[in-house]
Amino acid sequence: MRALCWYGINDLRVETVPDPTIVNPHDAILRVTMSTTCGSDLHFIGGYIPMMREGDVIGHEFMGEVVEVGPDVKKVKKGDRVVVPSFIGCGNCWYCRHEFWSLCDNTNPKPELQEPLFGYPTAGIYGYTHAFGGYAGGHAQYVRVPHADTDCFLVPEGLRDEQVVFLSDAAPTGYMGADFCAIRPGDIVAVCGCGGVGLMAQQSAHLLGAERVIAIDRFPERLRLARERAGAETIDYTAVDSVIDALKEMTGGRGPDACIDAVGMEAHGTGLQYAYDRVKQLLYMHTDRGQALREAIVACRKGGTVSIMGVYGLMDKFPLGVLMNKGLTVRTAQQHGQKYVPRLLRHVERGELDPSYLVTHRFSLEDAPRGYEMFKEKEDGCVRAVFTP
Amino acid sequence: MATQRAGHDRGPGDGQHAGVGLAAQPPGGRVDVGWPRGGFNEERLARALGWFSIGLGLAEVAAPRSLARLIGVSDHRALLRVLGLREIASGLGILTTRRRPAGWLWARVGGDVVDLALLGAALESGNTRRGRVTAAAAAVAGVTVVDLLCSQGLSRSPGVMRPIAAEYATSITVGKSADELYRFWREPQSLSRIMGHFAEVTAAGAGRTHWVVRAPLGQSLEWDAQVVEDRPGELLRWESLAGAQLPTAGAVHFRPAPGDRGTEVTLRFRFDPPGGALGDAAVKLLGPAPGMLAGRALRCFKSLAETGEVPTTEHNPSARAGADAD
Repeated sequence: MRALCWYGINDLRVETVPDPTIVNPHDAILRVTMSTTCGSDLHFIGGYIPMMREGDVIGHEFMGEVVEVGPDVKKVKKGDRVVVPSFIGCGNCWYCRHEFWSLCDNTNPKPELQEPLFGYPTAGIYGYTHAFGGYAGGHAQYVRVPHADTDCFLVPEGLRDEQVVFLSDAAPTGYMGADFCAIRPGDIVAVCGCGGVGLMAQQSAHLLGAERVIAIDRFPERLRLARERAGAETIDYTAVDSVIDALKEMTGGRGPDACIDAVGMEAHGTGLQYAYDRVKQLLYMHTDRGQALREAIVACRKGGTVSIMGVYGLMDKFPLGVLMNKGLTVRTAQQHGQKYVPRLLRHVERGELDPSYLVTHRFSLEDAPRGYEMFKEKEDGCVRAVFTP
Repeated sequence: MATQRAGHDRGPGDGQHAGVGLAAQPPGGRVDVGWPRGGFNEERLARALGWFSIGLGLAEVAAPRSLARLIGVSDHRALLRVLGLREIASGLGILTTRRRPAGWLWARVGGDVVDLALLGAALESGNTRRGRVTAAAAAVAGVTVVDLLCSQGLSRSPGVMRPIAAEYATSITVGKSADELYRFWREPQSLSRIMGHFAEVTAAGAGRTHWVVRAPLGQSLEWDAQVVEDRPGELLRWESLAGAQLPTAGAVHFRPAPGDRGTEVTLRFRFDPPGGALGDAAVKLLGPAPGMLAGRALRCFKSLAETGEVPTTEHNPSARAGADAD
């Protein structure tokens, strides 16, 4: 089959690779109908996180049609049109039973790569680094889905691929980010970042009852989407002296009740702090440029919640004292997709959420490297590129 | 999962063990997981290099200008401070790590190469005192050789250098009852699946099992083991029989975990390689990290018990030659 493969830093190629096969009894094979770029892919494409191998098939946000199932698959059938969360859950371990799906005990085949750093391994994920299992990803014609009965979600009839594909990652991640804020009536939620996850978090905050949502970014077209599609007020951080002051001003001097970080380790910013972070990251002296997160911590109201959805490494200069003295609550996780996909499908069916506007560019799988380039450089207002094999 | 190396040499005080048996109780109390004091020369050398790193680092950070004069380069204060921080980091890493600090020593080797490159660049540029720079480069080259030897020494498996009896204990929590897990462990197919990544295990009846560890070039290690203690739902203990190429003993304990967490399973085993070439070969066959083998075995056991399968990327599509085996 054809698949998008990682060959090195900023080197993606579409190659012919072997087809996936049923290996374990609960596996299914999907014919991928649509997959999409994700900002967290840029971290390994740019070489900021390790443990990729030359030739890896990438992509963790995808949907498709079931073409084959293993002998112990009971619910999922050949021909089903399904969407699959990026993190693989077994459905049986203590973590899955308590809905901490991305912490599953039984889906990372390479726990010894993660244990030294994390203490305990997380779940496996498709098309990511080998510390997260090294499973072949979804930017391909076919993909193997372990634990199919638990991880394949049937798509209701009448929904288009573009409405559903983001329920694989961007939508549940954004929704979980808002869910972590424990939003109560009157709450104002600030969201740093207006990419796919940020926009989904903004809409989710509204769905969960936020009074107002404030979105922060620097790209005019993304800020426009935040206003027009996600009903947010916006701050262009390059147009204000201080994001913290701007947020304070917009919230009557209180600060947002919750701040969601939808940016991650390659944050952009302004001024000295950004320059310092950038230089240190380029010298591999630290993994993260953390300005957005640091600002969120300072901007948040006392006793508020900081919900971190961006992917980070081992950040230094983390303002723990600010967190402690302000009595902030930090909530964070990789997406527990299986918990949120069913309710998100209902929102999409009822017309309360339509993520399809995230699709700004469409490519065939053969042109996927070009798609990633546009996505990375945010050329032509690119928010998300989708690929069809 | 916790893997602890719970023993070192057979000392004179350990004489009560006629064979290689394990006590029936799970290991309680303190388990020494540090590096042995006064162990290999490499480890003592590593400590010395660690203190050297910190000393040099402090000098680079505190007095970069004097140091620059000493080694005959122009005043690169910021660069020297950065290099100083690196030295301090690797020094602290070497001195504080609880395992053999091979990684940190290799970091020192990397640092030496950078230093040599920078000194080389300094020689190229005109703005330096060539005699002093050359002397500094010679000193760094000398340290590089020491670092390299020390790193290589530390990177070698300790077992290969000196066969020792070692006891390992690894624990995992499995979401099933102790009775279910005990029964599952005793099923004839289970052991070969759990240990499949390093040994073929066949049941020979009456609590006896036959173990074969295969290695490249047709080498193999074989032994028979016999269950010596059997408390259903609680404990199973086995020992190799006389004549084993690699005398070994093992035990698996099942204890209820609190709340809805299932059962805490502890796997303990002990290898007691004979001295001489045969012992060396045996330890080589086992590979560098028997503790990791036990960890893998328990993970395998947990995944099989909880989900009926073991996670794998076997036959994983990729653009590398052939499919992935791991």
